Amino acid sequence: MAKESTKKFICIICPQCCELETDGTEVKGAKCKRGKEFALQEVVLPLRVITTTIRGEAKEARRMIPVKTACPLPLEDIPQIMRYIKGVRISEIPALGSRINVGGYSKPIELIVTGE
Amino acid sequence: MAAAVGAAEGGLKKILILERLPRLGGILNQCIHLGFGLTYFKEEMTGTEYAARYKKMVYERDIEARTSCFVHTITPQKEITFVCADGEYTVSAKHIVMATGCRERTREMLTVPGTRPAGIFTAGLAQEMVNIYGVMPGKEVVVIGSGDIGLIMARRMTLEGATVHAVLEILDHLSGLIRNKVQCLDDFGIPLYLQHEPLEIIGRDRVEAIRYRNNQTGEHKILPCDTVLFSVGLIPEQDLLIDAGIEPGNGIHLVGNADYIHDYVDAVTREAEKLGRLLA
Repeated sequence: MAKESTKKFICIICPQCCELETDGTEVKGAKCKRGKEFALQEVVLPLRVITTTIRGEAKEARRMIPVKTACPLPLEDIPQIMRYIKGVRISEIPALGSRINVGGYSKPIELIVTGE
Repeated sequence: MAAAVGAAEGGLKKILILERLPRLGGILNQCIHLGFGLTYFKEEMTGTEYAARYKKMVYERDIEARTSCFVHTITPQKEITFVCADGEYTVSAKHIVMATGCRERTREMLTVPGTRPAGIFTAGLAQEMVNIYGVMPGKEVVVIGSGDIGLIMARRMTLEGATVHAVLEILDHLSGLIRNKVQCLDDFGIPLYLQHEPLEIIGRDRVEAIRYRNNQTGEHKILPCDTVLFSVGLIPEQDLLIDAGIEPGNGIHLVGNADYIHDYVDAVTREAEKLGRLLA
């Protein structure tokens, strides 16, 4: 990572949308600590939480179940990760907040159920 | 829900929520993306989680909530007539809070010329199809308008395997939030064309292409696609009052997006809770 060049981002942590500038060690423009962390992480490897749905095949209610990943995952791998998540089928209606494991990716992915 | 919780907190005893859909929460139930609750609950959650949290607050209090109930008439005497699975009922109230949300502006309201093939949706309808029913509206998508729902849906469609060719915006600036442009368009390399106007939807049975103009250069282009999503603004839903010829006031209240369009659900919640407390 070239330290002399600075990179600019718009922070996506909260709706204030701070304009951040970083050279990899110092962060300018962040109004909070989380923004600083975001900028430093963004230089190395952009991470995002994925929110999507998985197909529920319960007899009483066939419907989509909303989920999010338990931790942020590399942005560049999202298309690949989405393929693994889309393969998941569950036969019962999961409780809000329950966790579902997804295999296939280089490390285990945990999904959190976000809806009832 | 927030108005009911506010009123219950204020000590009001008889509160009835009438909901048209089978579950409480409204449009939040199809908002599976993050970005809700940052200012109200001080944590980032999805729309579905926000709805679930609030539903719990309703059920913990002395509030009667009836779902799958369709209110069809309201009178100036504050009588409400609704139909549900076990028949038609009329109730009278001291206060009526209209928390009916809003509707999306459609292609017809923009009067985009062209044919009327299948494959034209509002962004929110597409969101319901994908997130609730698990049905994809199409594969080659163009989004018209850069409202937040359009941006969110551009990402959602991409995640689900569709190709979003462009987001066209007639204005010279984004209408949604910048953070949504960054995390929905830039992250996935979806181009945003500002000052571009849709001129014609082309297609016989299914959308085949869209013709648009760059309003800076005057250049016309045809972009092949099979689906067009419109995210071109929201209109408060006040049809019940309009049909009855009632103005808000005198015990009839509008709250949230039914009053005016809000950017954040947190603001709607605060406003509604405050109203609820005032009514108690």
